[in-house]
Amino acid sequence: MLNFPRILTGEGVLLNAMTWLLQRISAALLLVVLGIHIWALYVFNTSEVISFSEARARLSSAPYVLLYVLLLFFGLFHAFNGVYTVMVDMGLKTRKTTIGILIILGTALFGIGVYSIIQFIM
Amino acid sequence: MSLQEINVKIFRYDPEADVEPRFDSFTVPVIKNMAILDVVMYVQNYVDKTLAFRCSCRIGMCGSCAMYINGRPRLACRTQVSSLGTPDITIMPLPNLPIIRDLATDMEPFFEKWKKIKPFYVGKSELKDPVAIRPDSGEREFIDQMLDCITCGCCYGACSMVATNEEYLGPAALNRAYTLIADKRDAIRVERLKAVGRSYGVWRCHDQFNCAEVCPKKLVPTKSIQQLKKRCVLQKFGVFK
Amino acid sequence: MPSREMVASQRYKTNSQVWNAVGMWAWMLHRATGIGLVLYLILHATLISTSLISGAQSFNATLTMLMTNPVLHYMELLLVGAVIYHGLNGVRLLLFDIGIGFSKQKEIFWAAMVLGAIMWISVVVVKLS
Repeated sequence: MLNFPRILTGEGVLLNAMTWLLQRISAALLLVVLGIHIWALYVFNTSEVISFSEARARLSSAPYVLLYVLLLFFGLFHAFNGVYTVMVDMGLKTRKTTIGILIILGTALFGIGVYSIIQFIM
Repeated sequence: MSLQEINVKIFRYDPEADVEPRFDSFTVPVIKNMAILDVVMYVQNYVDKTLAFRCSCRIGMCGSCAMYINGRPRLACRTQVSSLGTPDITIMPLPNLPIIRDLATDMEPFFEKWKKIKPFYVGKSELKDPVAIRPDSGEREFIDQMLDCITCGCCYGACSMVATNEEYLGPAALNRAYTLIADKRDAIRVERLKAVGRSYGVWRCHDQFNCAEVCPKKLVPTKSIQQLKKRCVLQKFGVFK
Repeated sequence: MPSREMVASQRYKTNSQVWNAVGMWAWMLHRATGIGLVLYLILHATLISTSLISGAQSFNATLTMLMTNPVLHYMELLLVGAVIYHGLNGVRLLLFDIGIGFSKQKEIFWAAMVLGAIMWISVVVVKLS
């Protein structure tokens, strides 16, 4: 059993207020960042299928790299915090274990996302 | 629309005698200005004396007669038969609360949660009574509206977050907490705020407005809960004291 | 047989809510699209990264396979719809969080839906033309 500080157990007052606030902040950010992502894919995409060279051309500029790192981080946070909220709403009892699993899963997805970004840059 | 008769389907269940709940159908003659409370009283007086329901003041003050009438919780005494616009009426007990018998629900879980937020005013010791809040200060503008709650439990029965998470405090208790936390004379505001800031408190509200939809006093608990969320966050940053 | 002395949570209660009000449906659809988008995000991140393991050729091959598939082509419209709905209803929720619109929540919802419908239909028109 993972042993998190009380702050992280979901019963702590701090975690609730902060994740709630972060969920709102990430939501507002995603409106912009995800908007740009979709816009870039469908409006600036010339051919029918997205190609590696096009993706690489986009990711050669630093703002786009920053955009995708932000998208990954806040997208994953928003998604997994959302999943956790759904579970608590349904009366989840094993909060610590669930938070542990979600953090591991989220970190893994962040890792493979960063890997993908690096593959485009290299 | 003037109805002669209505067809009433009433939920019947005695936990100590029945295995399964059932619906009984009654035909009730309509009188002028008939409320749903008159309908169940007619059934009890003239058709089936064993029908159980709860009522007291009959004028929408006491909050005893909340029932689930044609798809939403309403006060039986304040719901006119003609306002439902149909001769077919289904009456069920308030959802999310254990049933004592037929239409009478046990309000204990509701009031247990009500107690959790310490629903009474605790004056700051340094303040000397009577503490005046000037009527033109605007401080009580929103609080005063929200004080109208009669604890009928309509919002509690309407809330789907209460339905899925039975620890959730529910709209009424949180609304009551807000009226006290927003009061600057209150001595235990921070303690109260910590109680509502736990995971079974304000964070379970997801702005569905079912509570506001059904409130017989036209309160908007969703707004009180939003104010509490804001104060919880501010308190974390040390802004709310 | 249940008795009055049983713990409240174990005693029989009904669980019907307010089905004929728009607020709860807005929330349910928000949940449904949210969960759908989480699943898509996981799939999306996994597919892109695994296709990149053996370089540009396999990435191009995977994307050609995915983006020329007629079934996925239409399913993408569902994805677009989910993003638009979750985003616009999310804006509505953010408005509540900053204290705006409590007395006009239904009007805000329908305004967002009209805007969303216009956006989605224009995407459909662009994609199918």
